[in-house]
Amino acid sequence: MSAILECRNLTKKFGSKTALLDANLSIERGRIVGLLGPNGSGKTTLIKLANGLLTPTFGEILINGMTPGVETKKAVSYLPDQNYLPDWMKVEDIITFFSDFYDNFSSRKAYDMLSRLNIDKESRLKTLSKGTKEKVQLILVMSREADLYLLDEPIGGVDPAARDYILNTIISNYNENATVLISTHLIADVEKVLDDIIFINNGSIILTDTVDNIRENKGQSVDSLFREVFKC
Amino acid sequence: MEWTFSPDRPIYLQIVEQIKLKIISGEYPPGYRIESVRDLAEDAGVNPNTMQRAFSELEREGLVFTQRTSGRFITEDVNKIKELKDSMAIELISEFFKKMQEMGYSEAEILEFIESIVKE
Amino acid sequence: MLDKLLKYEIKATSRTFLPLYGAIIIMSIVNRALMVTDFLIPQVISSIILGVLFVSLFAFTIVILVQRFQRNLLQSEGYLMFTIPVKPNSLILSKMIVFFMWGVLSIICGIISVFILAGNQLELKRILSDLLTVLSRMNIDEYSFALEVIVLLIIEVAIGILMVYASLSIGQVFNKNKTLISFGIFIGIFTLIQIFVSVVVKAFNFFNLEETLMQTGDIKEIQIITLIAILINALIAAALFYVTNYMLTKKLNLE
Repeated sequence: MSAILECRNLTKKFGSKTALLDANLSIERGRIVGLLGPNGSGKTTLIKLANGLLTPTFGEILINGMTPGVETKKAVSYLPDQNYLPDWMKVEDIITFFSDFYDNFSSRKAYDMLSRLNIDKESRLKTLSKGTKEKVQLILVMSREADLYLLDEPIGGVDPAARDYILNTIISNYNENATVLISTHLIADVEKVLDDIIFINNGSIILTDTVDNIRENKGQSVDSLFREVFKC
Repeated sequence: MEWTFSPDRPIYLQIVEQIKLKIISGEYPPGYRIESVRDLAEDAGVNPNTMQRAFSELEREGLVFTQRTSGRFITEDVNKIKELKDSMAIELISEFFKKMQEMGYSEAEILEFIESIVKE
Repeated sequence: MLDKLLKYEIKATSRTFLPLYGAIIIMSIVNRALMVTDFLIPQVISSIILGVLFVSLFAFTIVILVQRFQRNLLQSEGYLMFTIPVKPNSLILSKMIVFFMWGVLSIICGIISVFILAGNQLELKRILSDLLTVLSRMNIDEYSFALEVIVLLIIEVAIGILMVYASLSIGQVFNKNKTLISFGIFIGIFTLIQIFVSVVVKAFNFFNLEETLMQTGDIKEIQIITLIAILINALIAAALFYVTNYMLTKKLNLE
């Protein structure tokens, strides 16, 4: 079974609100996939379901053929769309933390990336700027040798130079056994990096295709197609 | 290396074109050992699969070959490179003619134009 | 993985407790030192400071209990804690164990402080030898009874902690007024437990066990009652743990 992420009739409701409706997906290994949709379209819900942070109302979601649990958490590396590290820790503390809990975490790789960005390992997370904190979070995620990377809006609030750095890190980390799922609404920046795309709106998946197909068959970029499809 | 990509065509095709230009211009001379797919992908800011697809295409066309242990190389077949150069030139010229004809010039007028420009 | 969780929980909480313990010990020494002098105003001031610290110790322990659970599991840090490959029951257990640890340490700190303030060597020796005498004179029945009482006490404290955890984990499902709802649920759980216990007691009365107990006054009867109390309480604790675990596994609602 080579599909790293599978959704079958996946549905998630919060009371009367349906965040995700009947999602069916099969994502292969070695792909960089864009989960594209406007805010509130269900992207974060899907990612949280993959992480086991939410349980499905109906249907199932499988990582490597398993339902989300302790085993899948070992194989999934998640970058949330917010600050989630304990403020009181120093950079080296959180590196040790990741090292303690994840067998596939490489401290060496993390320290390597940190030094290249001139981030002092002795500094407390509380004292770092927003942009630096985000870079630290990204470094932690990318220093793991996971099967599935789930990046929720990784380039959302950062400057263009940082964006380039982040996308570059994703490319250089690429390995054909792992898959990266990038959820974003900033398509033009990431399009060059994506293999496949998923359009999602109002909790429903409306399109899945490869970037090459869209450009060849429709003669337009994914960004341009997105604007068409999601016209207000 | 500066890579520029237009957004409405598959990137792998654009990479193929740009590599071809480097081959015929001599920037990638015959027998040149190409960097790894990963390095080039990083350099160009594109997905490694895309870069790989471009090189598979170039291999299919015989412009690039892989040696298991030593890596990827530009072909040493100079004739092939000349052929490529010529066919790209022909394509450019055909494009030029087509555009000029769209503007309303006849073939004879186009040739006159070219001669006068060359003389300057 | 539990040991690693314990390590981090201790690290996170010792930043609050250790300085507090240090301050209490130092202020106790200061107070004691001032007592032998005639400086009245400094004596009063340092007594007040010490008093405040003692109250803080108690207050902090309760606040940290709630705050650690809330902040580390139910707010943004939850994204970290619930994606590391550990089971939620380990997360709950690690916090409980560490809380117990600080509870015991706080009591010890309090005792040390009292000795610094009011003790002298002679009294200390006397208290210790009295204690040893009492212990050596106990028979096996009294030992096991003492043990049972301690176990019962621990379970009771565990119930207290788990009531807070269960309330917080149920409250987090709601999007607004979480704190208010959690508090309301806490009252609700407390009431439920009271009802449950009184039902159990009524059942005992039904079987006239209370009378039997009062007639004999034998330690064995009291022991059986204590054991049954342990069982009932352990059941309540288990139920609360189960509820908390269920809410954190199936109904997690991180913002």
